[in-house]
Amino acid sequence: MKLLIVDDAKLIHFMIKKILKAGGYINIEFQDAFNGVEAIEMAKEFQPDLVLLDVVMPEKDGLEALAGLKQDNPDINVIMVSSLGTEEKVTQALKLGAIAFIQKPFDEDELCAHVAKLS
Amino acid sequence: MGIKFFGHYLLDEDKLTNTQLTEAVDYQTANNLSLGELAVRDSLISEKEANTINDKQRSLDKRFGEVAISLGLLTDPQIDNLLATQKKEKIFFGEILILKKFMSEETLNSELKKFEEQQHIEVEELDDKIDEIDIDGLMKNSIGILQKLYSRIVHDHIKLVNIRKNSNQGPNGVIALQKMRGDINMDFAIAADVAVSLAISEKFMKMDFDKIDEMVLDIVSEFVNVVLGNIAVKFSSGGTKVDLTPPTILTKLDDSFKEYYAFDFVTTQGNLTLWLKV
Repeated sequence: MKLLIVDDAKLIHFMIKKILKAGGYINIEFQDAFNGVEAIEMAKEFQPDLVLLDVVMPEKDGLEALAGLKQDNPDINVIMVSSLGTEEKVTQALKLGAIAFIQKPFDEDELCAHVAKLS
Repeated sequence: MGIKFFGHYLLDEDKLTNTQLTEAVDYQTANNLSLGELAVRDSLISEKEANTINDKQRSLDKRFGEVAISLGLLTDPQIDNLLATQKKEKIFFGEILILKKFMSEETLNSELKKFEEQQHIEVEELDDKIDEIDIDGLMKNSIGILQKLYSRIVHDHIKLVNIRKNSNQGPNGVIALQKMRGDINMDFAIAADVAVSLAISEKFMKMDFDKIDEMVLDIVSEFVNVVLGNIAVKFSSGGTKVDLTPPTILTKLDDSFKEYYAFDFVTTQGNLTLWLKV
């Protein structure tokens, strides 16, 4: 499985990988993007099975990035992972085609369960 | 004056020495077991299972018993028994002071009475102060969410002890600032001393940290992001639109912080100040 993590905080990349590894997902191929622009560029080459996408990021935020990712590949699986789970952001993300919105601080099992569905 | 824990009050009143306070706190920590520790001690679950329950409890904001039952690791009657045991075995701070002969029962009772009277007045004064400066409950809710998430993530007590303005003094172990913009504009910063920054990091990542490094800075930033995000969620239910800037780490509390309200908290680990400008 190929997973693209998009978050401006390096820490979140480390944390997600640690959680998935502890959950037994050892055969995941990861790529890291740190803003929306990088995410769109990387997704073209990497063709991820799943994108975990933050909302609050510099350059191009998560919702703009989501629109871009969906424009390039309407079938791409994107899960938003953000602390900013406001009604407005969640609705907008789901309208743009995100399959789920995980609010931080997140439940580790919830994250693993989403990955399990797609792996 | 100011709000404080009873142990710190006794220290300030010269009724207890630093060594005695540390010894009493250590004794209390070692003897007042959590439900998970009790369940492991009584061989109801393994240590690994207890950790699983604690992790899940941290992320779901649910009680230990609820999570243990939902995972099928403990039953309702077992939880009831554990709660009863915990209550029976609980040793209070004051009891330890007598047990260790740090003070007489008579002194303890008289100091406790003075402490409670003083704290009652302080809490009321702080509440009034927040009400005076609050706008639509923003500050009160922000304080509440910070306390809730700190307790949930760090598993530690956190107590508001003071509110001030026109000062840029505060803990400067790690300072992280983030801004909310849109229908609500709020500048939000947390300044934590080194011990609190390390405690947040250790519990957040379940790893040991012994100094402030890049990862600790990232973790405190993320903690600020999580707290402010949850505040935004709380205020967005009526269709309010807000965005957050990415959090930034500051090297010092500059003069601009004199325009902020500073809310000083104490935790078991150390001090933390919340800076708010609405």
